[in-house]
Amino acid sequence: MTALLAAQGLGKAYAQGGWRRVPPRPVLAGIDLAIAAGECVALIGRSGSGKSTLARLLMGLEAPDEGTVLFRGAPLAGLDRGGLTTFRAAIQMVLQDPLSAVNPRHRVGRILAEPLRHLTDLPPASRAARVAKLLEMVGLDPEAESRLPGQLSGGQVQRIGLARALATRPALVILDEAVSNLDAPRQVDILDRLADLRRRHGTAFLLVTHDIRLARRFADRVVVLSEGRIVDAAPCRPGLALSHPAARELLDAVLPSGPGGP
Amino acid sequence: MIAAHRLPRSGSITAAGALAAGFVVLALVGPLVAPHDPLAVDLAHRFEAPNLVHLLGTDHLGRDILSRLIAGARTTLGSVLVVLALVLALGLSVGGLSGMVGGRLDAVLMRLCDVFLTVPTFVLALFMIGALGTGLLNVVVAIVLSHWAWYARIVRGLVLELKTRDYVLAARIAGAPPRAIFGEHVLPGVVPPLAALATLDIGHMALHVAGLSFLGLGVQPPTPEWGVMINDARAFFWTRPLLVVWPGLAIALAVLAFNRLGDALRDRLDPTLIAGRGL
Repeated sequence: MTALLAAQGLGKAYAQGGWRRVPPRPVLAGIDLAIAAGECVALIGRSGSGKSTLARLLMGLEAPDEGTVLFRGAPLAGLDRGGLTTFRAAIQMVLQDPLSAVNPRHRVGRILAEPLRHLTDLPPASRAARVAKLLEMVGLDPEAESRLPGQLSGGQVQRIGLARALATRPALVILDEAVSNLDAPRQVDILDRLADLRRRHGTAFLLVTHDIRLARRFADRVVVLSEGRIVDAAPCRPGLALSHPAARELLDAVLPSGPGGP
Repeated sequence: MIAAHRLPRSGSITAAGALAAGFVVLALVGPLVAPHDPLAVDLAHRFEAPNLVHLLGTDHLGRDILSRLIAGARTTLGSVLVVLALVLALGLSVGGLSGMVGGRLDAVLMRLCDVFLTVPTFVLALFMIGALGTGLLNVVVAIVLSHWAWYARIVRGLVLELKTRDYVLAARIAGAPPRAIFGEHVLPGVVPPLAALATLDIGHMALHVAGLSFLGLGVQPPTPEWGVMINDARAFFWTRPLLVVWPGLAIALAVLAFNRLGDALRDRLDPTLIAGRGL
């Protein structure tokens, strides 16, 4: 079976500033990763390990310097207009910082309808119905539709970002640290909603995070990224068996759950 | 944006706004409220001091000065409006294209801007009129050519800054094509600071029109225009100084009003802009 989304030998380097000719700094190298339909993969690594860059490459927001991204077996670079629309509708992403990811001038209804306008051929009436349904899915009041992001709380805006990513009924949602910034009860709330979505629609998730507890709670398997390379990978069940030092470091970095706890 | 509305209103801004609005209304309805025909020559009543028939007196040909000032508002501000519309259209399209597309096109367009920016505006205007001949239309063309590059540069800078916003990335993920990204996410952020800049420049451009007309390069007599009126009155400066004062006052007040208004708009909308734009 071809994977829903796959990376083959992905590499990316960023040019460094300055007057002297400095070789570009490699951020990612030799990344191989495949995500099957309905699967939930956690991509973990510390800050600066290249997680966000990988997410952007997988989304086709930046072109890789080496390797290819395959969407249902077809290279992203070779997609025509229609293929790209299908790809965008099928693979969505929730950005890290919820407030800056929504246009402060747009009302919630318009924000949620944006992917519907560009990626689906729903008529306006059905779009409105879909927006109402999305608000319900993420647990927001229907009145939120006419609000500006500035009038909502951070957690509510994060749920707007999630609802937008779910608008086109994607096959895969990439969550770029999208859950890590929330406080614990909200994390649980969002993760429960996502798990529910998985059960009902078979949506796949790529959870990009530095928090190994989140990964353990939500994912089927964990992939560890360190200094631009995949250094370790393991299924979450029965027990997460990671051996690479970078993975151990993340495992050990977990704070005890409460005072006096384990 | 919301906090901006809480800034205290100052009296001078209100006054400037009222004055600017007054000039615009005068330019719009000018002929309807002018007490006399601005072109009617009446040699029997030359150089009249302000009186009840001629509120600001008459000039060396017996023409009513108030009527000429009102008609001049339309010539000056009308041409400034045309200049602004053209400059904004050029600046938005060149700057927008440059910022959105980037790469080689950006480099070519910006070098083109640099060429226009290297020549001082008034010198470029003089050169254009030398090449094209005198007349209001050529003055308009000259001012547009000497100003659009500023706007293109500023628009490009704003576009580049707005393009890095997360919500633009989110719009790309939502499948928005570049045109929709520009129209829905970038342009609304470009317009407010640009409006402030344009308002600031109204006075500056009015000075250009009046200045070039004063030099005899723009509007030609007997068409009423403030610069032309000053030029007409120059010969009688020592005997009838009021003839210079009236149009001079009109120019000064208009420039002052639009500058103050533009300053206020800029302070409210974007205090960080324009700082590096030495004039």
